[in-house]
Amino acid sequence: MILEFRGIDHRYRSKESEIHALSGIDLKVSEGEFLCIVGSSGCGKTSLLHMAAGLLQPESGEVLFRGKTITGPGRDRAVVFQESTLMPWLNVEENILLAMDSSQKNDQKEAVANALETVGLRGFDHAMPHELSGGMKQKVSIARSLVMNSPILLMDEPFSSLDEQTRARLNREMITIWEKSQKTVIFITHSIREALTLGSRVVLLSVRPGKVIGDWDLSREKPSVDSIPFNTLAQKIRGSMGLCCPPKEHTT
Amino acid sequence: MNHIKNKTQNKKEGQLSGILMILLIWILLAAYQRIALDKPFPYPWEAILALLDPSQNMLLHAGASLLRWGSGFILASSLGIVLGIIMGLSPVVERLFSPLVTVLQLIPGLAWIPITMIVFGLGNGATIFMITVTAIAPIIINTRSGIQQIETVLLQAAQTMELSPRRTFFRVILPGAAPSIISGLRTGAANGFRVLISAEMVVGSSLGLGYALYQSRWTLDYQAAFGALTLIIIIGLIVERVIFSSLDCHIRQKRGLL
Repeated sequence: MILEFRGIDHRYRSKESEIHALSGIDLKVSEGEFLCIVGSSGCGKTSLLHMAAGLLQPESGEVLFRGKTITGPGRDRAVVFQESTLMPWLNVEENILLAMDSSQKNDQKEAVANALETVGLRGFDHAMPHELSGGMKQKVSIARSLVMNSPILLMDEPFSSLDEQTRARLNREMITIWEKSQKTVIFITHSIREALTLGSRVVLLSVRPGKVIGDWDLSREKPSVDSIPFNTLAQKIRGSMGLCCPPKEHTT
Repeated sequence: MNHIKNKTQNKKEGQLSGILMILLIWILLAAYQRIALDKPFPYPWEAILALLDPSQNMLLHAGASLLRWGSGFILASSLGIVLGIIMGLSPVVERLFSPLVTVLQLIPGLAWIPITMIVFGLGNGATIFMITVTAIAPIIINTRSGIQQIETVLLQAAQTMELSPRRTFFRVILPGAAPSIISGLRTGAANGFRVLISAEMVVGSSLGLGYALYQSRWTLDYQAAFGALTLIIIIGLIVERVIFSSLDCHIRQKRGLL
């Protein structure tokens, strides 16, 4: 067990309203798993990821990393954010070097080259972030998280702002990276298709409050993309989300 | 890259024609005053000649002024940036100093004369104090807001990478706030420069462009006065257009903001 959410409950309060974001989340993530958490916007999936990253403390319950309660961010849990978090004033190499700690000093250059190779951006060391496309920026962010050598990768809808083709390509590359690196990945997405393409396990969250309402283990029998079992499962998940048959009062 | 070069080229040409425009207006005005009204309004070249006349000591005046302005500005920048950074990072310090900064910002430079006279009397110290105190407010305000406007997600990324406070400061916070800090320095430098000339007129002693300008009232040496004015404008233009402008341009170009 690498990560465990235990009885997570969380509310966001403002002066006018209170939102019950997450309720009674119990989730265990095994070593080496590619866990996709899928749900509509506002279901609290990003909050859940931020709790694992240590950027957000749950109101009640706790998140454990290898048996220890998470109290803050740490290098053992690399995060790839939804938007680009490359420093615009540093080039690709400097951005990746930023994530390395000083004990890695000897082979830093080599590690950067390897990481860029893995994400298919060899030779882009000296490019500035603004010279890269959105997809390339996210690849650099992934390269940056890889050099941290953390056993787990937390990814918060990293490809959601990209076009469909780029996203499909990055999905394929993500699987390769996962297989090569043997890391545990938690991947947040609102796309069922993306979740089923990537995940060795897919967890479905409901909306307000976010609760686990579905959990599919695909590690033994992974349906290939767009095959009949793939589409059947996607349909089933869509059904659980209440997306298959829109409520009649909402028809326009 | 090519179109960026062209852009800078165009900008330089534009600036040059702007300077020619100033000269043209000056010449026309001088010609009118002289020919039609018979007043001793100097032409630009006469002013320049007076400027270069060794008996006028104008370069000495200019040197003294620049030294005061430089000292006041450096003092204001170091204090202002440090205070701005602390205010940007700590809400407690911000609340404590905010009213003071607002007050500093509201007081016009020359209103400091009574306080300056009491504390420093006449001379260098007085002028430098007035420059510092008028230059510092925009530097503090811009530095603070530059730091507060750094995207939260970049700071979160720094946290997840567990960057040391030192690295977070020098690689994330400071570069993130840099454009704003530079714009504060620009305003501060201009404020300081304006008050420098006026301060020298009032609390200056024996040397300085403002002092020379003021003296020409009594000596009726208009050419020297215009020479001093020209030099003031040239120095101001160089500092603003050459130093700050290119620094700002460099930072923005690197980030793809141009």
